[in-house]
Amino acid sequence: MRWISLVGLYIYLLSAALVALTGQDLLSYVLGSIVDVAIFAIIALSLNLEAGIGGIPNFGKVLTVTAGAFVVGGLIPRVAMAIYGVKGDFVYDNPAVVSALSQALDLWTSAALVSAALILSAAVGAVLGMAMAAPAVRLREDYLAITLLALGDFLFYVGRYYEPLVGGTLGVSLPPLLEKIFGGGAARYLGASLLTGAAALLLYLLTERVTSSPYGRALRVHREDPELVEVMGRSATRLRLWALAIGGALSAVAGALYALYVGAVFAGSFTRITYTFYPWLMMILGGMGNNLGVVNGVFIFVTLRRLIDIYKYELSAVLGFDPVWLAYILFGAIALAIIALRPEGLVPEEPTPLAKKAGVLKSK
Amino acid sequence: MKSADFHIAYIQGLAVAGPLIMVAVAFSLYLFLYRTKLGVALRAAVENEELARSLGIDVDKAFLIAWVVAGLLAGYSGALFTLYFSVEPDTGWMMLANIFAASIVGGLTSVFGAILGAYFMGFVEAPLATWVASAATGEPYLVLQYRPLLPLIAVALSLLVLPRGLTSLARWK
Repeated sequence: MRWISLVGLYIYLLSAALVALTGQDLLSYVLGSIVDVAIFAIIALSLNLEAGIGGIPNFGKVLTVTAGAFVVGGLIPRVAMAIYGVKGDFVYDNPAVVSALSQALDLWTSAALVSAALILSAAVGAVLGMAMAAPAVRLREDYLAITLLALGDFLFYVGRYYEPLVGGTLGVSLPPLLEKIFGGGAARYLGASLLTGAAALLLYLLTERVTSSPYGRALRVHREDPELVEVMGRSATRLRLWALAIGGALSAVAGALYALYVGAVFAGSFTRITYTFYPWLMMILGGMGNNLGVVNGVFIFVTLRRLIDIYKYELSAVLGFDPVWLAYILFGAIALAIIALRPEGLVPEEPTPLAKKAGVLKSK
Repeated sequence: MKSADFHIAYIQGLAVAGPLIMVAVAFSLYLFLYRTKLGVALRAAVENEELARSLGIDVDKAFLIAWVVAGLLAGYSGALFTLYFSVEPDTGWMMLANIFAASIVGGLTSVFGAILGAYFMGFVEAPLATWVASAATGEPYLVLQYRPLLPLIAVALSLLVLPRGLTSLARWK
């Protein structure tokens, strides 16, 4: 393995050393960044399956992420209320309901609810992933891109204006599911980072499996030439729909994990820039089409973002403007630089190993 | 910035100048794309890049010029926009769906399709939506807050029913 294949990890370790040396709280940095890396890794991997490997320009990633979060915010607490017979309206009596639920919930019910949330959000994400592409899945790729981009904001607006779903502009707090499983205080954060980290690792192995399967190879052919797939006897439309379904399910799980971690759902936070363009940036930075490369991109992105967050007072003294804008400027500049200088990404996709396995290269 | 505008008998200057500028821009864009060598080369490059390259068209240069023209027009429209609305750093983001809806509903391949689509979407989003909402329900504002969804639905419907846009209707004969 070449050193650059883990470049993101090295940069992250360096940043952790920097945080420790400057006397900041290392534990909270590591735990927080594990959650960030895990959630964005799942989203970026799902995007890589669709765009990097399948060649489907999904600019509407935010839709399925939001769907996962809304399942956790809108459905799971109401199920819990029905189980324990808690009276009241979850959105309008939110604090009362949450405190009643936090007294009633026990370990096993919470665990069951969390698992149900992850499975349900995957199902909803898969259905939505397919549904959002339906109008344009048979058309040319640029139409598909525009449709996905436009429909990506659908749930953002619905969640924001339809209050009974997740509280509109005020948002909702969730019952303390993770606290009941892992315990309160620091244990919750340790547990949350273990849960999301384990989920990300599992889904990484899963996507790696999918991309090396015959289906993954068909997707690669589709990326190079959709008509060639048809010639080989597979329906390009069905390939696309399946890729969007798998990608939608994965990214919805990421959204659900994020909502569980934060402990609240606020529709206004699911913006196009955070959940569509940043995952695209991570994917392009790491290397489109290479799962390991994408994870490296995620590490670099999360490291930069958290460093800006931690050192914002020091930075604003030097910069003279709000460091929030520095993040936008920096990520925009990175996007331009990587496309201009190294369009294949830091860890490029490697040629398929099929030829090597069959001994074709060696025998000649 | 509204105060910087001029007025003709209580009508805001932009309401008169805007459409006039638009007609001028559309006409010169039409001339550029259909009557100059460069414009024809650009359209050929979009239609089939490899074929255009083999005919000796400098495709990269054509695309560069397309971006320059697009940036020029978009920047100019942004300058006019400040006479009408207050602008924030993410104003463009917020308008993205509306812009795409207008171009798709009108038809992506035509200069005049964009204008048709823009007026159509503007009409659907503001007066028509208000009228339908007040006719259908007692409290139109409860429904009207979902207005940002309209361009998204328009894109989906347009691609399902009329994927080449409104201007393709004219070419059916």
